[in-house]
Amino acid sequence: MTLLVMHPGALSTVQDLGRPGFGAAGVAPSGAMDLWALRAANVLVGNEEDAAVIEFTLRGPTIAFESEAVIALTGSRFDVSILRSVSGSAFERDVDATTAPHQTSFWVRAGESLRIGPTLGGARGYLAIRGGIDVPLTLGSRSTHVAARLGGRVLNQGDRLETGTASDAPLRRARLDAAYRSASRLRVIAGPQHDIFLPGSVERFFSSPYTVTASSDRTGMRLQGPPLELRAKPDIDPEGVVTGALQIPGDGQPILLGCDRPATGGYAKVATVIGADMHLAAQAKPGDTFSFDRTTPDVARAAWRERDEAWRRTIEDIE
Amino acid sequence: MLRSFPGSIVAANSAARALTDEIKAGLFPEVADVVPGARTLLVELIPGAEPSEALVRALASDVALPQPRAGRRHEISVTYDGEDLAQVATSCRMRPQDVVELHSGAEYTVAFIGFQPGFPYLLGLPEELAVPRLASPRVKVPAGSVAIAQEYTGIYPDATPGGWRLIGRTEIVLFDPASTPPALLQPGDVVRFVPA
Repeated sequence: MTLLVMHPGALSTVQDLGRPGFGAAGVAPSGAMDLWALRAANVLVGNEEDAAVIEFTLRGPTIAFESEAVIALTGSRFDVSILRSVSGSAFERDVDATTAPHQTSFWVRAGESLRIGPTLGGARGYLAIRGGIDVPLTLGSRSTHVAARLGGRVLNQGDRLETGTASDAPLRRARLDAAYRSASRLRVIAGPQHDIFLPGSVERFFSSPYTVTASSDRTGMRLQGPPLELRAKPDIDPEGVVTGALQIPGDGQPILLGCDRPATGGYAKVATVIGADMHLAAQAKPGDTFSFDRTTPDVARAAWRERDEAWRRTIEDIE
Repeated sequence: MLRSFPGSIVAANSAARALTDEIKAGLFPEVADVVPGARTLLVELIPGAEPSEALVRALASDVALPQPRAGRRHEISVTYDGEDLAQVATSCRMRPQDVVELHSGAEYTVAFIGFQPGFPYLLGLPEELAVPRLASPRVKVPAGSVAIAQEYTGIYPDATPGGWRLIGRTEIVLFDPASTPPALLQPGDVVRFVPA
């Protein structure tokens, strides 16, 4: 089964659950920014949770299907049409366009295309295809590290993508809560250098909204708000960092590290967004805001396990 | 979970590498990744997993650490014609050939790999060559650039933005995802630079 990329959209990449475990070689894990949306998309089409899908950003791609396939869209809701040529017509304008369902697997026929337009909600959407996207494994994963040009694929016009072996499964639908809101509350645990910031500025950090700026991508999201002030220089001896870390460079404005972050960083970190809330950050667009709430590592782990069970319960077979 | 070591950067880094080896050898099932830094060790847990008592104990262990394993030795051929070589020489009050002599005369230890895939942070730079990073990083540093900043020297494996001062270049391939391990240089390896 082959997919043809008619238009790549703003930034569309192949992603799976990422490649953890290579930090000591300088390699960040990459993988889907909204992990729950990736997993749900895969289960909807009958794939393993970690199969590779297409992650698209703000404006999606147009994809043509050379043969019939079961697909599903998750993550933020985008303006998506299924395009079907009117038989006998050679004119491109003579197409039937129907709106594609969200969070529901469905069949597309040979020759049909999916036109994913602008987002109707948050930053990222996911397209899973039964069988998964089959690009070569790089360090055990099909994920794309965009900044390091490592693994996976950044979609370009004219690209052909193959899918893996499909297995039979019923069509399914999901009722995941909408991850996207324009003002998100993110729970954080204390960062490794939280005590080198001036207490007054840390209090302002927890009581003020921070705006997501246009300088935001899979590497990191630059935020704008009351600056964090340090007792000392922001430079530290470089150390391993995690996705979700809020590092503070010299201007005091936080950078929220994403999945394509560097493996190590030399800036002080005030806090870390917990994994169970990273999908909220992943869906934020420039202009949206974050507010930060303190929590503990124990709560963070429990919240992850709870969410890991909750999303599965929202998926049901369609009779 | 992060363990930090005090003291000189050389001693702290040696301890961080030794504990990295220990934790890796422990094969703790709750650990997703172990990442040494300049003077730290980051243990990343599998999401949702509780750290075992054994892991917490191993990470906090204050017993005298064994020496980190001895690394491999590498000789890396360098063409010393970096864009910042003249400026580095001026700010260090020496001639460019003195910079080359000092840089290639020293023996370096790979402290850790970071920033981007395969980028080695090497300790052992002669003190006379300690220069600050550029105030404004370059948008694109050519792949293979040999550079210095503060107490480190390093090599850019790929063309990326970067703020270190460029003194030379090498043809060596530092990162190959098809190799095991993918990074040519490992923490603890010993490096000498040989003028081409």
